[in-house]
Amino acid sequence: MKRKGFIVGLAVALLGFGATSSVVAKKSMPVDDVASSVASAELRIEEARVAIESGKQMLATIPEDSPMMSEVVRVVSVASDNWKIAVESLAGSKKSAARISSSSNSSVASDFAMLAKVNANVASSGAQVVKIAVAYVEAVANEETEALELIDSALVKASASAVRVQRSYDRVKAEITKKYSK
Amino acid sequence: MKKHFMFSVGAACLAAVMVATTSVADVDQVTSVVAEAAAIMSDLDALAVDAQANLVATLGDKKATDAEKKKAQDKVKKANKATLAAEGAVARLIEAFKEKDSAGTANALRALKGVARNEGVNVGPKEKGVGGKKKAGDKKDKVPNIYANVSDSDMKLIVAQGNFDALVAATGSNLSVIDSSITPK
Repeated sequence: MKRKGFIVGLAVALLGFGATSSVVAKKSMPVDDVASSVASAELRIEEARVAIESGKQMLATIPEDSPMMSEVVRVVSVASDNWKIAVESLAGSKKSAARISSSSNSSVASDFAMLAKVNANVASSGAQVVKIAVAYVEAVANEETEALELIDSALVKASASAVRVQRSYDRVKAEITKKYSK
Repeated sequence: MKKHFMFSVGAACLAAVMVATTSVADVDQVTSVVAEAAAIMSDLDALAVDAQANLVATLGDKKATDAEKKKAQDKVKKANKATLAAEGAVARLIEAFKEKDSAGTANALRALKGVARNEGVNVGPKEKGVGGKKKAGDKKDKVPNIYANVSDSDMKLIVAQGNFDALVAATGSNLSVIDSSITPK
């Protein structure tokens, strides 16, 4: 009888706790996804690295007095900024991913997974922006002026999206940091 | 009987302690919703970047067929539509947050996940919707109140730390500012 009372009380307690936690208990950041996100970011960065090498050679063929030079300088600057972000973010993503398996519980593991995945998104996006920027330089070098407008438009839109990916990462990081800094 | 009473009281005390500890947990849950929404937005924005890069690569590929070029253009349109839809869901999430509306929060998050799922993002299994059209005799949805133990001061703190302001800035209403910051003058 007393045992039944205790169990009923405990059930009430657990139900009370469970009811308030179930909205977000089903965390939607599958840990399995992280490895593929990091691998995908690595691949994109490698592709961007190859593109940069090609872009350097193309850049050398553009005359210094080209009327497009100021635009090329601007685009190279965008590429440079995004390349730095991409490389740093991939390193951060790998660090977070490495800590998943050593996490003390599933909640911490899930938070590291979320950080790793979103940081991998930052790395991927940065690398993609680099590739678009290099495409612009190549188009200038090859005098494919008809393509420039489209590439420039793609670069602006992709850069804006990449900025949003970074902001989302900052958001996720801030939320998770806050959670563990109480 | 007396022992039974004492055990019941003990269990009730335990229940009270556990419910009391949800005060901190609820704040975590609310902030987790923000983090989850931001993570999903990052997936969708990353897809939009991919679509732009793919478009540039395809149009620059002399071997690409017209069908492939059209496919790349359609992908960009689809990604843009998805981002817009997601921004709408995030806007609803923000409104629900401001109103401490758990059902609205759950619905907005579910809508956001739906958009992401349509784009092939893995956001976990489909969840049952909250609300919607009801038939006579249907049971009312029970939505756990994640804001139950979140005090007004905690809510203010969450807002003050810029969570939703930044989320709004990152997902739509302030896009022109972001665009102008990266668009060369």
